[in-house]
Amino acid sequence: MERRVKLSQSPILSFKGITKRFPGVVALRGVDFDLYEGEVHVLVGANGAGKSTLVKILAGVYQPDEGEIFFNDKRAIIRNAEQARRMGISIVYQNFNLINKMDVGQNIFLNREPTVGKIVRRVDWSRIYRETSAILKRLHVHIDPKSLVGDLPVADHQMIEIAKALAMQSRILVLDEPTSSLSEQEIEDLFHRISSLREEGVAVLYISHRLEEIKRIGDRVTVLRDGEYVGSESIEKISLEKVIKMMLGREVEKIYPWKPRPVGEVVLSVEGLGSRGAFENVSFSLRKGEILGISGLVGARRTELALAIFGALPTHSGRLIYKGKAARFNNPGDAIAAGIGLLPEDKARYGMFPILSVAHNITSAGLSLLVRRFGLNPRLERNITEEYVRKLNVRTPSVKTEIQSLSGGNQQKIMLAKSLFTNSEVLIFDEPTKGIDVGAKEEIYNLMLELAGEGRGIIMISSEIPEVLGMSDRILVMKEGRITAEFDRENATQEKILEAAL
Amino acid sequence: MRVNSDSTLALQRKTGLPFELRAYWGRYGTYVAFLVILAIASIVVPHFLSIDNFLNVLTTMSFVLFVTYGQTLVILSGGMDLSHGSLVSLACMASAALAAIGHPWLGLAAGLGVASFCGLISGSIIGITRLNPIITTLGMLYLAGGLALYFTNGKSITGIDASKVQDFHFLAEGRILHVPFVVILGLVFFFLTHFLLRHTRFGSRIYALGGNEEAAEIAGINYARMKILIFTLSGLSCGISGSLLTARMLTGEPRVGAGTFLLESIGAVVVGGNDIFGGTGNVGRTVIGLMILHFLTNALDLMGISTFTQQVVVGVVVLLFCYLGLARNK
Amino acid sequence: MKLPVRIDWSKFGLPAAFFVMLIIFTVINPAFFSARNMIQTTRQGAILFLIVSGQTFALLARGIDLSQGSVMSLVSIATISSIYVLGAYAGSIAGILFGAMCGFINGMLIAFLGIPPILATLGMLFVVSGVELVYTGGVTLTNLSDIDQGRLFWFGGGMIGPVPVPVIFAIIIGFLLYYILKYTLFGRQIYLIGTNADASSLAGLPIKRVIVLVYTVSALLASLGAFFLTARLSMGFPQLGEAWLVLAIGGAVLGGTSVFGGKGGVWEALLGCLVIVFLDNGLIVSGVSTFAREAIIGVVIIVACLGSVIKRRV
Repeated sequence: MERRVKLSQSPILSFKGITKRFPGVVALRGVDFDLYEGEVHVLVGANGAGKSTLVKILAGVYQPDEGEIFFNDKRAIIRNAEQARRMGISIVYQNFNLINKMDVGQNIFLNREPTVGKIVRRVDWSRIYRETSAILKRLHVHIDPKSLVGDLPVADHQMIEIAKALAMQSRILVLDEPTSSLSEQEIEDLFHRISSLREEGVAVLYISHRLEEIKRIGDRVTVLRDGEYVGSESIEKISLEKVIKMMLGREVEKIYPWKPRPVGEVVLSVEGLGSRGAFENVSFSLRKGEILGISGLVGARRTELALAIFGALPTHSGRLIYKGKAARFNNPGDAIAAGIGLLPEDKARYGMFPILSVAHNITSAGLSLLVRRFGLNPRLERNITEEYVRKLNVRTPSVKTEIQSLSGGNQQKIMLAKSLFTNSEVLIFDEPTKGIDVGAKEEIYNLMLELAGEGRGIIMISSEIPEVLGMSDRILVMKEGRITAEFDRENATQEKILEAAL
Repeated sequence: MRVNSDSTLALQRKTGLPFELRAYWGRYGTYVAFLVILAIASIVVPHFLSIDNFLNVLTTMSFVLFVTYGQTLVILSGGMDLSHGSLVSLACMASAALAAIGHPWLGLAAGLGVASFCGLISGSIIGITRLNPIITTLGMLYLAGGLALYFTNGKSITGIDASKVQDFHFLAEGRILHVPFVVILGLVFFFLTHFLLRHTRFGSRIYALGGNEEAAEIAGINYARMKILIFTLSGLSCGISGSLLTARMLTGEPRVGAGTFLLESIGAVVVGGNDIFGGTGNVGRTVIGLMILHFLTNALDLMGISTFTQQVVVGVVVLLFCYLGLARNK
Repeated sequence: MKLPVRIDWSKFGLPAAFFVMLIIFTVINPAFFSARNMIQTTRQGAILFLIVSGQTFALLARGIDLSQGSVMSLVSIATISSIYVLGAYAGSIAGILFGAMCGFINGMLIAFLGIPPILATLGMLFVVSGVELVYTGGVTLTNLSDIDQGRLFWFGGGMIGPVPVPVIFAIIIGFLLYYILKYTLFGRQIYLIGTNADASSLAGLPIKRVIVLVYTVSALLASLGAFFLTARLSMGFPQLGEAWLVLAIGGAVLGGTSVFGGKGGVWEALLGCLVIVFLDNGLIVSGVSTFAREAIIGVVIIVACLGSVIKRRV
């Protein structure tokens, strides 16, 4: 791919010393950053580095507390989404804003439909479909403008969002983690489209945490870390290692409190497990007291594997051996009764009962344990849950507090307490530290070690490679529904894991 | 209200017809069912297949038709209007009151106006405060129902002199070239509604709101304004039906809408195969839905199975169509 | 205006409004506060309380039961018809079971056929009201034998000491429901499922069984309400339930039960239905016509719900 960035010209957009504070946290601190027409500018950073805050400032959702934004060399204030749109800024968020029940053309021109007729203004559908065709052709994608969005694969949704941006004549296109749900081939396609947009002079801001993509698509890269601007560099002049170093800083290892500890006999083995449309022939075993990390890219089907073990997803082949006996969990209830606990990745959807109390959340999966002679025993419930709150150091006014009012880290601890309440001997953590702050992360890590120390087997699914490296005794890597590698703690490196995951 | 007692995870386990077949069934099954019913009834039921009978069914149906147009708009936009029965009664009373003192056209205006106004109020509450449409329109059902009875203390308004309101009466009972005028009116409004949904930006916004409220609002669609407009139109549709009923009966019946109007307005939309949670469907499906209900009832009537009242037919057909996947609700 | 003590209006607003209302009606017409009127009103309130509680179960599970009104009419007819054959006691039980069975069918339609609650119960509403109209031809069923009539009437119109019989039943049932919601697995599962069905599924809860039970209970309670009404009238009235559905949902929401599931309970049901019956009675005593009362109550329900939206974004 040819890369020509005319840096001599002035940037279409630049941020100067942008700072954004939220109560108790500085999300962005003095960030400088330039975007030129006809370049693909990659913005990288770990979770919580401030990428999404930056995007929201660009979208007009947040206003910066300090600093200035220049648009075409003129000072600009982006007050709201409408204004951002008028300035030619289009943002394709990770969770798309498409209407599945409408067709492609209707989505692309939603609420901006061209009309004909003077007295009665009719929507000009033929023009909509004609222009949609043209835009899609320009993107080199073969989608029928009249097909329902809901019937199309996710990869096409991405292209439709981009087409929407083009239909608005956008000059700046922001793509937020566009490849997180795409297959390799689809990613390849997407990159081709992005390249051709670059040729047309569109400025692309590409946000990603996938390092391997930087070299493939980017012209320049800007690194953020914990809300701070670390630096910008032309792609040719920087190595991936350097980017990683910039992203992670120096004190990477410190926050993982891993210590060697004795590991017992095998508690759970998975033999040739397969679930249609999700994963095939997955085998591994987990020992008592062991932390088994499962790494891989988003979309490697790790969550599906967890759900299948937990009895929430049907399997068509293979078997589980739990505590030396073949086990079959037809539903989550079976798995819970046998002593398996799952902390789901999307806890808001699959884990929490937001308007119910901390106590009710903790006991939700093991209610029968609270039944005494006169039914559920509230005093018992209060005592037990208060003990968990104390033990796990959950910061909550009381166990009667609604869980939705607590912070993400404390909610995660309650999800953990919920699994412990049912006496789980095997715990599956799916992205346990996603979206929680550094302090809470460390507490979760300590709890995991403590639980492993008590002889429980832990499976930790994580997309954060440093976390997998830092916390696991053994590491599996999954890719597209298969296990592609297994490493001992000593042998694992970031490069090896990435290689197996890509 | 999005009510889902079944978890998505459990739903994933459901298997059934191959995808393609199921998609065709979902799309065309309603029409197939309609034709099958017509065919069977034509063969089995004596006197069913005659122009007179068809015109008869279509005429009866037309008085409900307008209400179902309104309900279609509401349901397509992701809501539901439970106030329909009462609004029809209220419109009937309002128009009868003025017709009885010799002003049938003012009466018509009053009928349309008062029902639209009730719709406006429901729509404002839903749009501005985002109160649940079911609760709001249920409250309106009660309120408007009470008002309809309050005018006359529950008595009917009689004494409309047929000779003085001939033009008005013609709306409901007149014929043009043997075709009942009300059927023609129903057809005209069908095309209007269809045009509104298919060829205006307003229609496009209705589908967008019903398809994904959040995405629609991000695209700049004004939720409050849309809800107010939609529910006002829904009220207007009741006004048309109610006033036409006055024109037909030449009396004001305070309970005229209480029986089957609500059930038919929702039933027609559902049986026609429109998505009950909005976003997919069209007014043609609603008409087919209403025809299924009316022809079925008519056929059973002709067979002398009068024990099957319309209500049972509607109820069973709604549930059956839900079960067969002809009423889209997932 | 500054108050020395901050009052949590979201909690005490409705009870406060209730007492203010009682005072106003008493001032308008002192007969309102008479023992006789109070007893009459609590009798009506007891019946509404049962129905509202039933609706509360459905709402807690993030559903809705639109068939309550027509189930009530059916129970009225079924009870009287059964009494013709089975006598007062067995006939009453049969009538109530008829109603509960409708709820069971609702539950099966929702849990096992995956029909959305609003459609399933709406369909049931049509079927049930159609069936009972067909059966009766819209005619009221009367002509009970004197013995049966006497026995039946006691349930609706009788007194135990100074307290009407339905009130006694409502109090007992109210405590039972409170116990069920608070101290049984079933009760807790309703709240959990109503709050988050996906999470409930992953927590291993028996969702389908709970849903079936919820709608059975909803119909059973509506049936009990219908039974007491029927007993008082001592006749089978095919339009008995017509007006009650709105009051049932309105009462529940007015009391503070959320239509989005997981929030509310027996206390909220009681509060909501007390406000409605005393408002209704107060308006009667103040000389407001029947139909204006309906309109006023409609407005109050909407306004009170609006209050709850502003308060909690229902």
